[in-house]
Amino acid sequence: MTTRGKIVIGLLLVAALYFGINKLVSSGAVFKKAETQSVMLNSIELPAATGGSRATIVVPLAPLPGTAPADKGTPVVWEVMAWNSQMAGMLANGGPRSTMGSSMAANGLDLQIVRQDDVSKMQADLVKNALDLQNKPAMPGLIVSIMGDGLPAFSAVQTQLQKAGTSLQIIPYSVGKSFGEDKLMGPKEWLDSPKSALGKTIACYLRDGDQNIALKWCADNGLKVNPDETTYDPEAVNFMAASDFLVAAEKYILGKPEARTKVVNGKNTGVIVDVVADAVATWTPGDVNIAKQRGGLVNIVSTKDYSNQMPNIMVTTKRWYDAHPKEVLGLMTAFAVAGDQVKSHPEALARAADISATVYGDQDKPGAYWLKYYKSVSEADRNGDVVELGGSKAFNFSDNLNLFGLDEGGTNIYAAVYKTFGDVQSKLYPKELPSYVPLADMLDLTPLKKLQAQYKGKTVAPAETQQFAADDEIRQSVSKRAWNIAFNSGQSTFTPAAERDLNQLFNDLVVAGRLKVAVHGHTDNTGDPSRNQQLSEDRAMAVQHWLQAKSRSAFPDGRVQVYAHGATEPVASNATPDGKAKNRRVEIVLGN
Amino acid sequence: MKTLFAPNAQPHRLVFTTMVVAQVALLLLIWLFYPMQLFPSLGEVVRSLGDLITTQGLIQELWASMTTALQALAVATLLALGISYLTALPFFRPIAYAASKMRYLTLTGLTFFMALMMSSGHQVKLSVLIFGATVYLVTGMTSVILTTTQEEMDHARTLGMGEWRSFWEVVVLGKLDEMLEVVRQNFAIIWTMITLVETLYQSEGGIGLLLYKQNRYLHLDGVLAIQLVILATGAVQDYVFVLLRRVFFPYSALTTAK
Repeated sequence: MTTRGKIVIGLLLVAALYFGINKLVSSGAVFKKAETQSVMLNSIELPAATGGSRATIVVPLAPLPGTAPADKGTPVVWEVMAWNSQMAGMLANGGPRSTMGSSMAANGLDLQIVRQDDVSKMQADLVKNALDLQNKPAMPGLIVSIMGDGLPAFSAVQTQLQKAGTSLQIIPYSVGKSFGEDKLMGPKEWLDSPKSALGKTIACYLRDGDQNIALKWCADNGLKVNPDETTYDPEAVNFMAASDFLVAAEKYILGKPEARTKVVNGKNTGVIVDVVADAVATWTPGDVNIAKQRGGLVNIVSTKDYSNQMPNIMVTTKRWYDAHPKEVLGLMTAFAVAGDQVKSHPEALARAADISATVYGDQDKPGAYWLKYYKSVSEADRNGDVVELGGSKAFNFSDNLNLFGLDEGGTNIYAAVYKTFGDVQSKLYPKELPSYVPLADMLDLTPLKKLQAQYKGKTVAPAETQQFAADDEIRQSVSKRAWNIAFNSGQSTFTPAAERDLNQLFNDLVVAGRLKVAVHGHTDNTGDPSRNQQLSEDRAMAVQHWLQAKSRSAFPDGRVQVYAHGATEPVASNATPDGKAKNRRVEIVLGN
Repeated sequence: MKTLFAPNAQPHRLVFTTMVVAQVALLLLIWLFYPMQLFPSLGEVVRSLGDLITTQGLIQELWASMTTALQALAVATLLALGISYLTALPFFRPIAYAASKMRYLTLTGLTFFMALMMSSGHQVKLSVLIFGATVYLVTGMTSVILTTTQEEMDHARTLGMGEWRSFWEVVVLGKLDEMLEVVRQNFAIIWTMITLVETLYQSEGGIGLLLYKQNRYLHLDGVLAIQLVILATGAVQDYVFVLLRRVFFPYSALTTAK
């Protein structure tokens, strides 16, 4: 055979193979990926707290920590992301390693703070540390800080830790939280008409805190979400996956299309469409980059609204935790002391920002940068629109009692956050996160209770609590959603099925701690109008009372307001029993 | 048996095959009966492979990545052949030199500029792969061209060929088989980069994205299963290249030691 003949036959073979395999792969004769339906998440409620400080007790300014390493105490390593919620931790330590005169050294610890932005690296380091401690118990223990709502997904490391003979353990103390810096940025019209987000795409780092904000906003507005990042559903909110939160912002800044298959009702149509990022869920400096380099997006919702979503949660291994009860208490005490300082004294906060700059090690970001975005600033974006950037909060001891529900009549806010987002992630991504570790397996509040008993009767700086003016209406609504909470016919008492819905609603509202809640009661058109007016008011009031009775701390006076509409605003025809059932509803509006 | 441990021996095909099968079986048995603390067991990996194939579309993702890789390889090969053959003309030598030195560049940050120049995510993916593969191919191909001996050139000239014709016969046609070898060796570069580019643009899926997701949730059994699939794919690819060489360049192995 001649060379030319070989080439011709070779080309024919290649073409036949290519088209053959292509046909086979796309025909569904080989196993296909399981089809993903878009999901309507039940509303995601979060606790809310903080705002106007009742600070009547001012903690006197303590001497600031020195700069020379103390070089004594139990060695511990703390891995952190470059996250402003850690200001109290920075001041407590005085530098990348505990310094002379720092509260950390005073409590017998030699803490080394290391920056680590990569979550899977943190997981690997925890496993490595567990193995090291097994062989040499004197090795420095490792603590890592992650976002409170991201812990369920992070808990996937549990299987590996169990192979190493231990498990995850939470340090029952949080140094602070995100308060505005994590956000969903989108086109302005989303604010007035959330429905316009359907068929649009949000760029974000998937299965993480930033995405959780977007998911919660979709749930609170009753928008379906499409969990599959490789398909496009015109009737749901879609996600565009980025490898981190800055790349998510870059996706919008560049605005390049990506090709996807279109699905309708979970069925693959085979049509390829180009999608671009219409909105971004990110955190500082992702928001700063968007504003400076392209603009055009406003804050739709942020952790200022969902103010309890993202506490900074520290996890370590049970192996280290059980062997070092004294160190755990020392760590918590050091953070508590520094927390009060950072919260009440600008000098202490500025110092904490300088220490942050040293630890995070970005040459172009001095202490002033971290300080500015800790406080949050309003800046004009490229198009002259004003956007709010950054925003974090440091916690003191009382804030922690609040977070973990040890204050009077308190709700364990963190437990609500953890369960809420664990359920969401595992519902959306059953393949990747079939289950997550129950919080009770990792959280032991004994050390916090011990400290609480120690401080009993002493004056402790108070926690920040949110004040709601009772006569203040919601001016800017963040979300609106109808809940068909089942009442007994013609009465304002709940059916057993309603209790389940109410618990869900409760958790959702606990996460959104800083937002006011308006409960709008509606009825169908059975019976006379004035009676219906009264009935709808009674039902909305019943919801309000139920919430307030369950938690006074999450629902202080003035947070929940009641509106009655009777049968005047039907959402469906009253001609059918089905439509009537839709009209007997309670609408929950969140806003500030 | 003796031939297995004698230098330069040529054992019977059957003996050799049996030996390879035994070695692999031994490895699997060790894995099966001596599980390590954090390393997934063989059973777990097999189970996870089954799950990936039946419910997560591993086959489709592999094919998607494969077509992307082949597209990139085709373009990169043509580019690299052009650049290396042009080194015959002094004017183009700096280009080849620069291209081969670009092996040392890391892609971090460069992807942003590529995204600015291209119009869609798929094109960026391709251009990153093409860039990565081309610089390695040029390096290999120019060094193949440099193996041209004075004797070979003189031989062509004696036959009365002009400079262009000699170059065509000796360098272009005469070295094609070795060029194919360079392509085979460097195809692996594309596979190592595919995970990176598939996580940059995740809308199109791909086996790299599947691997990334398994790794994020520390499903180490899944990670290992996918890595093994990639390994097997690579082995098959190499075999196909050997086959191609045999079909198209039946005489190229004449000088190899037996």
